[in-house]
Amino acid sequence: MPTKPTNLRMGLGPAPPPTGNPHAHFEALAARPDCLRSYSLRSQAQINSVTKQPPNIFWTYDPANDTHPLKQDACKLWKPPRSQFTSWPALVTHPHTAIKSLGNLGDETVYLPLRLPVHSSGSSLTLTWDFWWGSEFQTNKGTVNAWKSIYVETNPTNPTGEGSKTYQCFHQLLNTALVIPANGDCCAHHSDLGELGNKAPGVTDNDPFFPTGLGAAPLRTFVMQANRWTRYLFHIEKAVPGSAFTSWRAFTGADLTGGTYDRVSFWAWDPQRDPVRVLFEVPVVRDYPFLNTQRFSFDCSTNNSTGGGLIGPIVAYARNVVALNNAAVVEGDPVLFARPIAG
Amino acid sequence: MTVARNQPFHVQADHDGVDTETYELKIDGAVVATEPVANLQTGVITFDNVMVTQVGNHTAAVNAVGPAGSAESDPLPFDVVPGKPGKPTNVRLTVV
Repeated sequence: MPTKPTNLRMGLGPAPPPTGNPHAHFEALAARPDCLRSYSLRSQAQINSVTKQPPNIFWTYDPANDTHPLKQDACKLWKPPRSQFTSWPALVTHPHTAIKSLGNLGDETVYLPLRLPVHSSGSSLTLTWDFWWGSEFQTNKGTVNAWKSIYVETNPTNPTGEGSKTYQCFHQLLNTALVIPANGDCCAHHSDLGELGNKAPGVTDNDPFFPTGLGAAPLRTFVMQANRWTRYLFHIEKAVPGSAFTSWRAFTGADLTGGTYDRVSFWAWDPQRDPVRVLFEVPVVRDYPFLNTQRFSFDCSTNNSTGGGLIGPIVAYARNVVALNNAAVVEGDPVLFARPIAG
Repeated sequence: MTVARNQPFHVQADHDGVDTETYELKIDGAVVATEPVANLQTGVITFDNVMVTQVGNHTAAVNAVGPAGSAESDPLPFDVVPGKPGKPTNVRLTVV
């Protein structure tokens, strides 16, 4: 039986964001027996260990010397416009020739992605992480209109090798609202919801229609707010028989045919808003057997060779990645779905 | 505390979340909002965008509800006073 709530209090307007240990969610999940891998990303050594050509100069952890006015205790992404690469000391003196020789013309991609091994071997993989989009993504975007940011990569033969084939890909679109750096339409780009162009019945490139109906993608959009922590939870149940997609059948009125699929759900939320189902139990074709890596990448197709590109640096922070093995994911779980805390 | 009629306010209470599924916000004994235990953040449950339309003396209470029963906080009294009138609109002149 519950105990009596105490310290009842009221205030005008909305409640202030929660305060407390910003890493409590990470610490609780990382200590669980079903934790497969955990990366706080609050150590430069750890950041470099998941960088192919270290040291990483785009992603750094140095809060003592961070001059950003809204600095966070997290791994910082700082990327100047490509046009400033040749005057960026950390780049021109980088020990790897391929990085050092990046010139002032080309696309605005972040060239040293973080590849976090997860090496999922169970029947499901659950990934959660926090990401803070700086308002610079909007104010300095120039002609850059989208970022492919979060990938889960697969490997055809090696259960512990680096992933290469992208299984999931989330575009963060940049819209025209000044206060919103990313449209957050995480399901906007679904050409990769299923590898090699193979898709489950009913899933289209841009609109996997469960749970809100074909053409309803905007209804399940989570619009991320600038300068605020967003928490993500990505749940992949592997090789589920089509007949077990009961929620899919309830929605479509027909069994899912054609063998087994991964059953994919994805939520996003922040300190002020409840989790939003961006994807819910969507069937996905996975052609390669091993889910190996989560990648923070930030690729874009915009470059300054034709007069485009960023007009100033972009800033973001990432922290507290946890991969869980065979975890029970129940909406409303107070630990798993705790709101992020600023800090 | 005093709030104006139809002025949004929030109510918070401390709780451990143990054996609890939902929280109810009661105004004058009637449930006006519920929150799942998932929204308990660092031991604080919050009800946002609460509004009361009746001017006068009221009480708020938070009830923790679980499968084996419920437990209600001590009531918190508050007053609702008339708000500032809305701005007249659509001013028009008619020649008579």
